[in-house]
Formats: sequence, C-alpha cells, structure tokens
Amino acid sequence: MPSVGPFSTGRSTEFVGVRPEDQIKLIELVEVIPYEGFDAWQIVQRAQGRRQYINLDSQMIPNEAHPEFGRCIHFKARVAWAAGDPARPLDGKYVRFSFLPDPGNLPAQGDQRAGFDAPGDCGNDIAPTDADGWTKVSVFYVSTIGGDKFDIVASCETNEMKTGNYVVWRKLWYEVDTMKKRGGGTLDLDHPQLPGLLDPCFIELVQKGTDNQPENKWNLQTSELHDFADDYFGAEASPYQFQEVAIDHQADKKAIPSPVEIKVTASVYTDGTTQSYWVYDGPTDWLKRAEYKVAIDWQSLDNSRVTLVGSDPILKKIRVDLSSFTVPPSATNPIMVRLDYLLAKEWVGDGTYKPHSLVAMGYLLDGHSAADAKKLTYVAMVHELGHLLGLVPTTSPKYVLTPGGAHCNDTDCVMYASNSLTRPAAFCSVCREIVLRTDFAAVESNFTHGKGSKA
Amino acid sequence: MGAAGCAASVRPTPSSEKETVMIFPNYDKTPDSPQFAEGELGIKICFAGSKSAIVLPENGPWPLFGGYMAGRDIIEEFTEDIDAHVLLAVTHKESRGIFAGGILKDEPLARLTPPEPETGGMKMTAGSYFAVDLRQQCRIPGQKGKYWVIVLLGRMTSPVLEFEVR
Repeated sequence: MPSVGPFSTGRSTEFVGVRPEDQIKLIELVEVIPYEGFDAWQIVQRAQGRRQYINLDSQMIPNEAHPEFGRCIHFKARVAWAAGDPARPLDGKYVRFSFLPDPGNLPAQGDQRAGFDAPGDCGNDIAPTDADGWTKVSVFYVSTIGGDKFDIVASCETNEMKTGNYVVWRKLWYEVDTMKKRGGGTLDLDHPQLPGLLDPCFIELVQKGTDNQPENKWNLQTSELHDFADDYFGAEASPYQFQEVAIDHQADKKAIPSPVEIKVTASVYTDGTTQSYWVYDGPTDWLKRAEYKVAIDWQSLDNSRVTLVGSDPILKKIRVDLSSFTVPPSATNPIMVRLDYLLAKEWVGDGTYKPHSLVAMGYLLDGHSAADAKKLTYVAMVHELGHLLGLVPTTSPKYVLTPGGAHCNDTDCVMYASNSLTRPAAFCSVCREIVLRTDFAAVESNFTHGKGSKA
Repeated sequence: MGAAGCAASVRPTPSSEKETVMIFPNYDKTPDSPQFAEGELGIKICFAGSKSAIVLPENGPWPLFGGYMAGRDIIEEFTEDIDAHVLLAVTHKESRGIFAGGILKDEPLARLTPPEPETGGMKMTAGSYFAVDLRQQCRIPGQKGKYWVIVLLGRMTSPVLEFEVR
C-alpha cells in the first residue's frame, strides 16, 4: 500500500490558505494500466513500487498488460472531504504529484531525466479531480539509467501518500543451445550463473526457449558459424533475446607458405612448443609432405617418421624420428628435415554474428579441467554480452583498441581483451556505469533476429 | 573467445551463386596469396590478383593477402603464437590518419602449456598465410583517398603497398 505520512516534499503553495471546510484528504493512490482492447483506464492496481523494465515495449506481448514494461508509469489518486458533508461533489480540487529521486541516482541529462508528462520535463504535475474525487491520470517517466530509484508522492492540503521505489531495470532473454558431445551427452554451458552476474548492471536475464541440442560436429570453421547458429535460434523474444551456443571446436585451416625446416641433431627431434594441428578431416591429414636433405637434394621421408606427441589432447608437439637411419643425425652431423603441414587456428568462440554467442566448449574441456572450462565459459559469455551492449565505446577513459576490437584496459574488468583464468566476470566501475547508461534502443539491432529453421 | 569474436568478419554478398564467399580474416592459402620459394623468408603482401596497387570501393571490404616465413631469430623472439605479433599499419594521405591492427580476429587464449626447450634439434622456420579486410581489421572509418599499408613482425617488414579508395 502507498504510505501515508508527513509532507516529505514540503507543503505545496497551491494548498496554502484553503479553508478547513474546503480541505480534502487523500485516500487512495493507484497505478493505472493502459492497454489496447480494454477500457484501460478502469484497470488499476496498488502503487507500491517495483522493477520498471524501460527497454521493453508495454504492448510487446499480445493480450497481456505489462505496466512494468516501458518508461511510463500512470497514476491517479482519489480524495475525499476532510470535514463536513462527505457527499459534496469533489470536482475542482487538486492533487500534486511529484517524485523523490534516490540520493544514489546517477546524474542525468536532457531526456535521460525523469519527469511528468515528458522525460525530464517537469518535476511535478498538478492534477484536478472529478466529482467523484479521482484525479486525471498523471504520467511519470522514469529516467533511462539502470539502478535509478524513484518514489512517487501524491499530496494535498492535509496529507500525502507515497509509493515504494520504482527501480529502473532492463530485461533480456537468452536461449541456450548445447551441441551433443562426441560419445554422448551434451556440451553444457555454465549459464545458471549468468543472470546473477548482470544484476549489478540492473539487467535482468531470463532463460527462454528450447535447447535444440544440435547434432555433434567435431569442428565448425568460422565460415560455418553464422548459418549454424541461425538454424537453431528460436528468437521468441526478439528483439530482446540473444543466443548462447555450446559447440565442440571452432578452428580454421592455417597453411604455411613454405615448408618448415628443422635442423635435427639427434636421432629423435621433439618440438619445444605445442600447436594445434589440422586433424579434423582425419588424424593424419595434417601432414602433407615430409622430406630430408641429402647433400643438396631433398628426399622423401616416410610420413610415419613424423608424429604428433604430447598428453594434451589439443596442443601437440612434432616429433621426427630418424633413429633407423644408417647414420642417425647428431650435433656434428645434423640432418635438415622439412615438413609441409596444416595447422588449426583454434578459437575459444565467436560473438561476431549478433545476437549469437558461440563457445567452443569441446576445445575448452579438451585443454582444461571442467571447473576451469566452466569459468572461462561464463566469463566469455558476460564479455560477449558486454559487446552486444556496446562496450567498450571510444569515449570510455579505459578504452583500448586491440587486434580483437574495442576493449577495456583494466585487467580487473571482464571487458579486458585477454581471455584467461585471471580475467574476472565483473565489469569495472567505468564499464558498469556505461552499461547502466546504455540506450537499449541504440543497440536493439544487435538483438533483432528471426526464428531458425531447426528451432 | 580468443576474446570471442570481437572483430567483425566480413561476408561479402555474392552476385551469383557460383561466387565463393570469403570470410576475413582467414589463414588458409587462397588463389590471391603471395608465393614463397622454398626456404624463402620474409613478409609478402598483395592485393587481389597479386596486385601491388589497387583501387577499392568505399563501402566494400578492403582485402589484403599476405604471408610470412620467419627464421630462427623470430621464432626465438616470439616463441609460440607468432601470429599475435604480426601488425598491420595503414596511413591515410589526406587526413594523415594512422590505423593499426593485427591479423588475428581475436585475442588468443592464454597459453595452456608453457614452451619447453626443443630436444634433438631446432625448428629453423615458421610461417603462416593471412587474408584480412583492412577496413575491418584496422577499424578504418572508410574515407576516400590514398592509403599506404605495411605489415610488421618484429624487425621483419613487408614492402609498402599503396591503394586508393574511391
């Protein structure tokens, strides 16, 4: 119920000098719900504060009224005579609507500001009453800044009534699709943590839609990603929905312009660094050609002498075994070997094709513990959502341009470029304020999409 | 992801179904990739059709094709993931703007296993092809005019190529 109490906004001058027999008292403060198809001005509910999702359209769901969607909240109040004959008509009296912003609200400019009748227009509305004591409907616009809070106050000459906090929130839906694993099960994304991670930015995330569990494909190249994600996206809440997809691997072929030369100085050579080699078309397809040098001529070397070794399932070392040579190589008698092979350029995932965010869970699980893979995953999901929301703009004092795009230069921010176990899942204070101030209309195209053929 | 998909990939719309849609950046050998002789070291770049100069449309992709073969000194300098250190630098004559980027579409994931000494020999060369959309990769606003591009890897540099946007 709205609270009734002392004048928190100060007694308004329009009420000064009203004779006691003409004074009114507030007895009801309600929200009015405008809705197409109904006699909307008859739908009322308690005015008690709540989350107000300003990025959503109040008419977005057919046949449902959602007063919590949009910037506008509609109020009216009812008065009665404070003394004397209660049956007298009440038309011509006035109620003053005003708002109390929370001291913690961020500064706002122009149309970002709250106000009555229009954004940032007026701090109060003087509403006349009808004969029954109801005021006209007063329209209040909350601000556009996530986390801002407002109480609405209705006051007359004898008392006032106040709502609870209306808090500015934004709402998005997300769909999760998890590819089936090689060997059974699915490549699960650790998404249950995701909504909580966005609460400090006053963005409510709600999971929606069906997990369409795409059939496994060991590797999807970058060129295949968009069509793949498109097919499985339900997009039920477009343009307020994004998609998180767990895939196995995302790797592209990486060719070398000239065969790699190795100076072998022992019967067996093992590379000191690891690489991901192209085994996706078949485990031996990575090696195209192997040769060794005799005097000035190159001779073919049996491919079986060149193997990939190492316990890591992804990153392998090259080993060249010349131990069966009549004169095996040594420090004083090195043998040059050259290898023409295909590497795999592995990616952790991709957020290029909005609003799809694909994470190569198979790649992460192949090279990390399950716990580490999960952490890398949900940090990557928050990072990609940050990009969907427009981070990091060039106007940010922490903006840095990296080969991967616009990022934050703060290593303690999820928008830092480097993808590692030390990157946190939270926004720094600068990026958080940018997200609080994000104009969701400006990024709506990032979330707009049609339904896929396999959804 | 690296840091997933932060740079935009370009998917030109084919004018006919028979045209191949090229995704940028990519690292495979393409018909437009520069040629290296066996054992040749260095950075080579060219435009489509192996051209050293070209006129490009203002609103389309600005493709650059390249490759590098690095010797032992570069391998020791950068150990693994040499690609992350290949830099693109583009200048615009009229505005004197300077634009830079890498050849990777994302930041690489932090190394999972640290490098160890090679045993029984040493790798003497390493290399890669690359094909990038300069406008996307270096975030060039797309002004008309004359540009120059160079690719660097440590002390190794490509020739400077010129292109014009109309």
